Amino acid sequence: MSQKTAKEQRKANAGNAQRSAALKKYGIAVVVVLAVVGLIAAIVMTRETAGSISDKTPDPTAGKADAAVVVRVYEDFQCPACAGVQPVVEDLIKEYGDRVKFIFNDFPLPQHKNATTAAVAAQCVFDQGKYVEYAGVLFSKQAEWELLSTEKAQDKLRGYAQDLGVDVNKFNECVADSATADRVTEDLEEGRTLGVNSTPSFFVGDKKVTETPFSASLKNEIDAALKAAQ
Amino acid sequence: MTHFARLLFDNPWTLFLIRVLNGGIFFLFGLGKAVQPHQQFYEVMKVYDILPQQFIPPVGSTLIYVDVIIGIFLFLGLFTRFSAWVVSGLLVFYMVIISQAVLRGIPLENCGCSGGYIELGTTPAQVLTRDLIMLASMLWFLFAKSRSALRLDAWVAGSDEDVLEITATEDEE
Repeated sequence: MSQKTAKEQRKANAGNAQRSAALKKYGIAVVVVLAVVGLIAAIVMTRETAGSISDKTPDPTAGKADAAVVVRVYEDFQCPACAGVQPVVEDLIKEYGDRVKFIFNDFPLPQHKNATTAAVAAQCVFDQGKYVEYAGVLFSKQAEWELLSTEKAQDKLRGYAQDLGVDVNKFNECVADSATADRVTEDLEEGRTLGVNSTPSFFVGDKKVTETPFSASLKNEIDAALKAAQ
Repeated sequence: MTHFARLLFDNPWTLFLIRVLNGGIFFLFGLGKAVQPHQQFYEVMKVYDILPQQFIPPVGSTLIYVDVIIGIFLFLGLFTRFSAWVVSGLLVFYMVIISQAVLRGIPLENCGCSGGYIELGTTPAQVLTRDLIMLASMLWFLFAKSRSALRLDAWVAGSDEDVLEITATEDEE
């Protein structure tokens, strides 16, 4: 009899323990969830924005140098979607170039083996003032160089630069200089800070534009930013 | 199974490592997406072409927060088995989603599989291999005879856990 009572007592204790453990566990879960929400909010609030970020080295630009509205573009020369959107970018420069500044940043994706090589070449052409034209060539002839070995791709990229009248000796020196690759890395890190994880990525002021087609969404965002800046 | 293999398979510290790695990875994948505009993840989801447009925002945001919360729960060892099952289920779900896209010839420039804080695989083949390894380790975790070390669950239960175990044994008798 007393053995049975002791067993029942232990069962009752276990029931109480179970209830108290469950309560503690749910309490901790709520605290953990709140801490995670707080962490997310803190990251979002303290992160640099596209409007506040400052470049250590100059980036290629197009349009009005002191424009109130700035569009930042993050591209990978080997990305097919970037090649597809290049005509849209060129149209936007034509239409808004007198009111908007476009800043071009490299964001070579790791799965594209010649993307960094192309970004370095484009930086060197930028040094000689023909970035936008060269970017257009790299995108339109993407199929010609994207799958080549690095050496062969470099030859092709040099050829395109030469066709645009770029000084090849300066181009070669620039490509060999590790500081040029550092400029590409700076862009890449800057993009990551802004949360870029795919290409092409666009920011109109602080706002990331993700809606496709970009031909419509970028125009809408630029128009809204111009209106707000007036 | 050899004694050594059993020792390794059921070792609480091996299970701890599996739990912390898988939980940490899920947490960071989710956090990377949570701190970005969710629209970005919705655009990636659109590419998979499996959900009607109107369901993408609610499903996308839910997936992001489930990754974060379940990841941190597994990492800390809170609701450990439940979290481990959810993580395993999500891994199967993600593998099915990526596989169907590959089989349908959908080009996945960005599969939305990582998030931004850590990059573990970029091509669909790499991501599927990664998910398969993670799933195998989670099944190991779930079917091991021991429990992982340093679980918050155990800490919360404290000495109560011993009481619960004694009672469970008595019930079996």
